[in-house]
Amino acid sequence: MRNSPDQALLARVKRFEAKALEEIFDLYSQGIYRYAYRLLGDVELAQECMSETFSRFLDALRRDSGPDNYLQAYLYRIAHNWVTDYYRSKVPPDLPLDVEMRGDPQEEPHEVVSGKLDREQLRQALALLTADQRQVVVLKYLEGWETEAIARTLHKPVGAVKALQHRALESLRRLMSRYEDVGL
Amino acid sequence: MKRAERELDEFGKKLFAPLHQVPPLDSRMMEQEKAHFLLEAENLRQNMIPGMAGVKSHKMGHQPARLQGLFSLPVYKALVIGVLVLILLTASSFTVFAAQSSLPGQALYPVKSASEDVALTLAFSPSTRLNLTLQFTNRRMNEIQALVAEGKPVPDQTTDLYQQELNSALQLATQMNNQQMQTALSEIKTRAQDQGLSVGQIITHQPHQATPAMVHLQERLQEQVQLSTMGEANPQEFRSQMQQREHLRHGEKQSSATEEIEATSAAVPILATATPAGGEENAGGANPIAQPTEMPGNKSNGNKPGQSTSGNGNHGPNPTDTLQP
Repeated sequence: MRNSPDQALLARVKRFEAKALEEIFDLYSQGIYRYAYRLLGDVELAQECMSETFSRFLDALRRDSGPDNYLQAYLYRIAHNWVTDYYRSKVPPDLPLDVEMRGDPQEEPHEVVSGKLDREQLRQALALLTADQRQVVVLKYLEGWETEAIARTLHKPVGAVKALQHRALESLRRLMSRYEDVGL
Repeated sequence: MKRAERELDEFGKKLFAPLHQVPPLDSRMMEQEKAHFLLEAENLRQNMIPGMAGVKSHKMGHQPARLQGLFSLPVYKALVIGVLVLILLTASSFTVFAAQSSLPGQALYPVKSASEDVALTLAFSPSTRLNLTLQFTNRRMNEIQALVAEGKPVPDQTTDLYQQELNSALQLATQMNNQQMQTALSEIKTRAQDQGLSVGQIITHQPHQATPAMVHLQERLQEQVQLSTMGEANPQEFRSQMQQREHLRHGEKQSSATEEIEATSAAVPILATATPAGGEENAGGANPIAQPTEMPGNKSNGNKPGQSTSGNGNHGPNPTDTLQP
């Protein structure tokens, strides 16, 4: 059987080799943080998600139930579960009335307001999608992943991922136009 | 149609543009996170080694000095008997030990199953039993992975046993107080998520091995995640759901037992009149365990109970009913 780079690295990680673990952290921590931040919009929460993702990964290694391949997909899946649990623990978002807006000296005031609103609205709309729909569109449009890689992460056929993507975008279009209808 | 798809894709790209900006992580904070991660890993690594080293140093103690005064006749006889018993015990222990790495279908596998049953029988507290049960679910997963890696079919008995263990884990959690139960459910959930990932990898990368039983197992693991998530959030609801499931299971067992009795009594006159070669029809009977999984665990936030999954894999492991507007 052909060994992928992931398999070789994972074999070392399973022996808890510090160099290999460091390599994994350097390779994926920034990406996991970015992914979490884009979904959560909060630096501290995104850091917590990243930290918990790596902690759960170690826990899986301890139980000898970690991945044998596709490490990136595995880690994003853990982060995705964390974010989903976080969304679930929160009251489902309603239309925003109290979006917090702090000034940024480099932006015009009207840009600050509209940019913040756009981002908050989009995050809230994302929170209203199903977990799988959300993960598909975030990995596709924010992380720039290929559909095949997303399919691997979600353990779904490519066709199913495309269907999820389609449904997610339709829902987002509907939700965003709802925001516009109420003048936000 | 294609144009509509393209338009939708463009809409997606435009829509997500505002979220592309991410504030950079503080490099010092990142270093701290890395140090913490590596320290955690090192602790885990060391915890594995001292456990073994401790056992060795404890056992290899001060025996030679003590043995010198023991060689009077009766003591000698007792010692010989003791050694013989020890040899017998060691031999059987070796068999049990060797059986632990056996796979379903191999000669020593029944020894492995029996040793697991004995271990469970000897464990009294729900938490010990739960720990053992969770270990056994990991073993089932490892067995399935090993069989798949060898290109062998996974027997239905293995997936059935796996599912029984999953159910037993949840039932054991209900025997704990709320705080313990929530901790236990968190562990059950994490294991089920990991194992679900492993089953998913098999289904994705070895589709020829993805039997209906395997797909059903994946759904059952998703259900396990949903039920434990629900239990973490709402212990009361979880207990009542588990009670209902147990009643249902009990009812199913009873009805299948009566069906069997009816089927046997109905089969007798037929066999008496027909050729004696009958009886093979039983083999074609539907396996009750291979039916699609019900998903009663989606009630976490007072929504309607979740629909059963269709088995096409389009439903993620996370219940998202609560996220709907």
